[in-house]
Amino acid sequence: MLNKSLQEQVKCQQWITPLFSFLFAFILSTIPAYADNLIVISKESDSYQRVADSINQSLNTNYKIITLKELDENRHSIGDYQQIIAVGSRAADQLVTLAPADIPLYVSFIPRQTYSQLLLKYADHQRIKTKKITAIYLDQPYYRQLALAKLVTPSAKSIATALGPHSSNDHKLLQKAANKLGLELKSVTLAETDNPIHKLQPLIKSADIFLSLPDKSVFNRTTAKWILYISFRQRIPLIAFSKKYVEAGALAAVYSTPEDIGKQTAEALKYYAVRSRLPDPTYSDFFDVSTNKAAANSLRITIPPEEKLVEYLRGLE
Amino acid sequence: MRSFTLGIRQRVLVITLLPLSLITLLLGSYFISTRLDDAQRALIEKGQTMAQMMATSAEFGLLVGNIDILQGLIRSSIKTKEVDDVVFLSPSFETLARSQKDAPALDKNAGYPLRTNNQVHFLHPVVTSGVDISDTPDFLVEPQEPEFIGWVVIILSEKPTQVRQFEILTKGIILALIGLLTTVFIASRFGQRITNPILGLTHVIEMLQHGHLETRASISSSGELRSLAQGINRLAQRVQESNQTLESRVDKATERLRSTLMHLEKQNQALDTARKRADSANVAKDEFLARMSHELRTPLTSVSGFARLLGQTELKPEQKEYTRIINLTSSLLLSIIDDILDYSKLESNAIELEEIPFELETCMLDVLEMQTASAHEKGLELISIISPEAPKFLIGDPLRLRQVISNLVSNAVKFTPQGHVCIRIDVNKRNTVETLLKITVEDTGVGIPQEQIGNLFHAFSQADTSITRRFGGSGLGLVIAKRLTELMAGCISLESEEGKGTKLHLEIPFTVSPRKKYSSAPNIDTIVIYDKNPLVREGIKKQLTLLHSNITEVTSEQELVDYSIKNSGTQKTSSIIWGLETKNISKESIQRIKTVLDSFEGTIVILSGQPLPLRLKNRAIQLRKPPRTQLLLNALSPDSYKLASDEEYVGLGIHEQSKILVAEDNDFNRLLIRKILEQSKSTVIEVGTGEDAVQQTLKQTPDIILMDVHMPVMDGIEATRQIRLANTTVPIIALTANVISSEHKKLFDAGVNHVLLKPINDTELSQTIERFLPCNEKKTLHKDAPQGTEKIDDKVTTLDDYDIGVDELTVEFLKQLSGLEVGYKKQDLQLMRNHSHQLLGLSGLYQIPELEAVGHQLHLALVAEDYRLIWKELWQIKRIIENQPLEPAN
Repeated sequence: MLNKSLQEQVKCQQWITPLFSFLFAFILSTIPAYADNLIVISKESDSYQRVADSINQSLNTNYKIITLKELDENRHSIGDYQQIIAVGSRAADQLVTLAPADIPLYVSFIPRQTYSQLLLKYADHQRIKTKKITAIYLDQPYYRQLALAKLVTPSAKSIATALGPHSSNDHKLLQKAANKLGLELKSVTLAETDNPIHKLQPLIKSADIFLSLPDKSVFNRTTAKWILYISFRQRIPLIAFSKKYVEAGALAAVYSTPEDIGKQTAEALKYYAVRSRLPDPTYSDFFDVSTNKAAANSLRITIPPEEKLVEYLRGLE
Repeated sequence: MRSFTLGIRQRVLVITLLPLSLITLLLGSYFISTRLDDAQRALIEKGQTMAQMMATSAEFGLLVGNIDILQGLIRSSIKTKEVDDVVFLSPSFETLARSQKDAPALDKNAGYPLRTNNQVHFLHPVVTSGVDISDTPDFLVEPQEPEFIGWVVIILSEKPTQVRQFEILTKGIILALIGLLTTVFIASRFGQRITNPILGLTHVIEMLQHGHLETRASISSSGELRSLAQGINRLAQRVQESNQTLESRVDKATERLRSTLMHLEKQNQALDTARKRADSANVAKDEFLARMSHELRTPLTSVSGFARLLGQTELKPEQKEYTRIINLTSSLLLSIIDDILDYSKLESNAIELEEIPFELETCMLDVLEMQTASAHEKGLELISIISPEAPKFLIGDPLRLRQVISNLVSNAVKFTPQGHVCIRIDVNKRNTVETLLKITVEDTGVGIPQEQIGNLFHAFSQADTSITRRFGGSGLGLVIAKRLTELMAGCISLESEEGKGTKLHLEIPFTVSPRKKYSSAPNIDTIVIYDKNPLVREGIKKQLTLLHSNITEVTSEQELVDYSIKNSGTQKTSSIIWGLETKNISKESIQRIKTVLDSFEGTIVILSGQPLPLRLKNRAIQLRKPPRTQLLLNALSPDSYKLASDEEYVGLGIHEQSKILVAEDNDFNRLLIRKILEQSKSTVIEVGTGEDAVQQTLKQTPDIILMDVHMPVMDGIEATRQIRLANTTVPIIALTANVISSEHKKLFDAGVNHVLLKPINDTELSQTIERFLPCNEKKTLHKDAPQGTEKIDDKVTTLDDYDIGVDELTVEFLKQLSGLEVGYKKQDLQLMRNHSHQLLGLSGLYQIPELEAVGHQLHLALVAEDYRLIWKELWQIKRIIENQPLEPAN
């Protein structure tokens, strides 16, 4: 008898576990996924994902993260979201028009010049007109970069840089920052047809520091390599704009990581939540500095540790 | 052809070296080729690497268009000895910088790496390379495709590579050669270790084979060769030991043999002495017998002669009977003495057979005629049945054949009281030259008991000793007949039935003489033959085969009488041959003969044993039994067979103007021929040698040539050959005593037209000359040809006919004798041979057998150069010529 009741109990247990599992799954699938904000990343990429993750972490919320491709395929009803965050230039470009104009659009992880071009491109769009758009820039302010140059080579009197067709308008900003730091700015503006090496060689020779700016007319992988080569041959420190350039041989760089940008985006979201208006487009306040010890040794320059430099730079701002 | 074989040393070397050399060569060539390829590949790889590196190095220079940088690169590159040229080119393949300015322009599409003029061109594009400087894709720095900015061409010289390759090749070959030499050295050393002992062993075996049994192999090697050497040594030792044993045995045996031989020699000497004694005794016996026979004969001849003389005187019948008995006894004694003499001659092999032509029928009938008297006295029929196929002429010894047959027939007559004795001759022809004569002598006598037949052929034995007493005789007849038959290479056998008769069979081979008997048959249509004895009829019938007449046999006298009466008065030519009893002819028979003679108009030939008491008419001829064929034919046609009278014989049928060359070495023969020919007033040119014959032929151009075959200096055959070279038309008639057909063939081959046999027959000679003389071609032959031919057969030329007397012949013989004597004195064998040849020829020609026999012996002695024998024979010849009257046999 006892054995029989025990057997039946075991049988019941065998049925209970799969039954509960099925019910749980059913409930989960039937509840509609709901979120206030949508993060659209330009493509499945580590840096975009890190930006999105950083936003989520910073706000401690669960924003829906989709790629631009998924957005195209699934035809998500973007109108359902209160705020949309576009990570990357392409996502920004798409969402300016795709997202309803009344929904605020945060364009994150976008170079300043690209954002400027976007605004010009869609200047007539309702969103632009109603300013339902803001941006968190990927690049660093000139002052921060020139300050780093000054920190790394305090003896430097002049700084050289090349501007392309996209960055030629920034000459004034550069000049201002240089003046502020007491540096003489020597710059050339390169046309699309110019051989950058030809023009840069004498420029680099003439200055104490060379600052590379992310302009595709000036900088590509080849020019980057040969600028690096020329600056080394001339023993001119090269201040770069990315960590990878530092790893490739530049002396130092100041940059914002995706996490930094994410944090800065989260700050923007918080700002909107508090003030119900969108903040102005801004550089990231969070940044990192990378230095190349080997390059410093070659140039016979002693540079402070990276943390110190970050601190100095923060202190300067 | 001897095939080339390698020795073991060479074979071992080949076996070792061949694979090793092959491997060395294979590996050497493989490594050399690999290394050569490597050197080539290294050049290519180097060029490609250099081009690649140069492309990287030139990136900046090409990027900034800095020619100086490129020149700097070129300068640093061409320091490397292999680099001939470095060229930097723009993307559109325009030369930017180049070390050799004057070098020809490069072609982009030539296909690189390009080989020209001991140079290899390597082309490499120069593309930009960059560094990754962008953290995110959103920076303005776009990832860029590598930019193509120009070309670099590196031109490397192949010379250093070729030098290196040559070096590799040289070193490789040297190394391979060193390897090969080392291999040869090692192989030969190791090979020698194997072959030397084997060669040593081979040498030992060879030495052993050559009998050096003391040779031993050295046991220095190891393993199987050591065992082999030991084995050979043991074998050699055994062979040596057994050889020694054998030698000692052979020595002993030789010793024994020697002693046996010595013993045998002694015995031989003893035997020789005994034989000599026996020989001398035999000779003495023969001499004694001969002398005794001679001594006995002489008085006996006078006894019988005087007895015959006595018989011719007037005597009383009683005395006549005594003289008859003396005659009979003395003749019996004479025959016994002759038999003994013959027997002794046969026993001492003193009889030599002659080889002369003779007529068979004559020979047989001579024998029968000798016995006719005694046979007819007994009333016996003597019959000869000669097969028509039997050759007419034979070559052999007729005297001895006659003696054999005579013995047998006289025996038959002796032992036959009544009936007949018949000689039957058949032939078993072997070929045209050889014949086997089968002679059967049969009688109807007393016969011989079967058990005594075996003793008959033994000397001094008769079937019954009483026979001797009854019939007389020495008992040597059959023995002599047997011996003589065997001497003629024949055989004799006997079959007999007591009381019925005896048959003796003789088989003797003879050479057939080429002589022919020219007979022409009389024209007789029918011949009727009667004789009581059928064998007589058969014999006559066979004798008449020649006539081709219709021959009828009748078996009774009455039939014959009837026939004669029946055919009386007919025109038909017919003849009767009537055989009568040999003794006691009945009156009835004589009466019947008379009847027939009266009624019958044809020829009647009566055969009887004795003259008939009848007067015969012209048409009837009486012949004695057995008749000779010629006589029978004459009797049947008396008109045709008259003997030629001297008047009828009118010279020779030779053209009077003929010029005849006679080549004959014998002066006497030449004289005879000249005499014969001069009868026809021909011009005769005489020469003694073949050489002269040739010369005279060319000089005188005779109408015909008579050529003796055997002449000194140049023989007739050679002379004929030479004459035929210059003159192919002149008829040449050869004269030879040789009947052998091979010589005749030689003569005909040389160009002779006709061959005449010696002795010279004048008629035959003249007829032959007549036949061959060109102007006589159409003339008829001798007027009386049958008689002429008859003469040819039976007779040699009569010397008297040509005024050559016996004296001249004797003179000729004496001349030859003196020549022989001169030759003997001078010891000139050649001279003696010449004279001996002539002497032999003359004696053969004129049938002087004793001189011929001795001449033949002399010839043999001359050939043997036995002076003692020559002297003996010469002495005999001298005796014969000087002491005996020489008369030719005819």
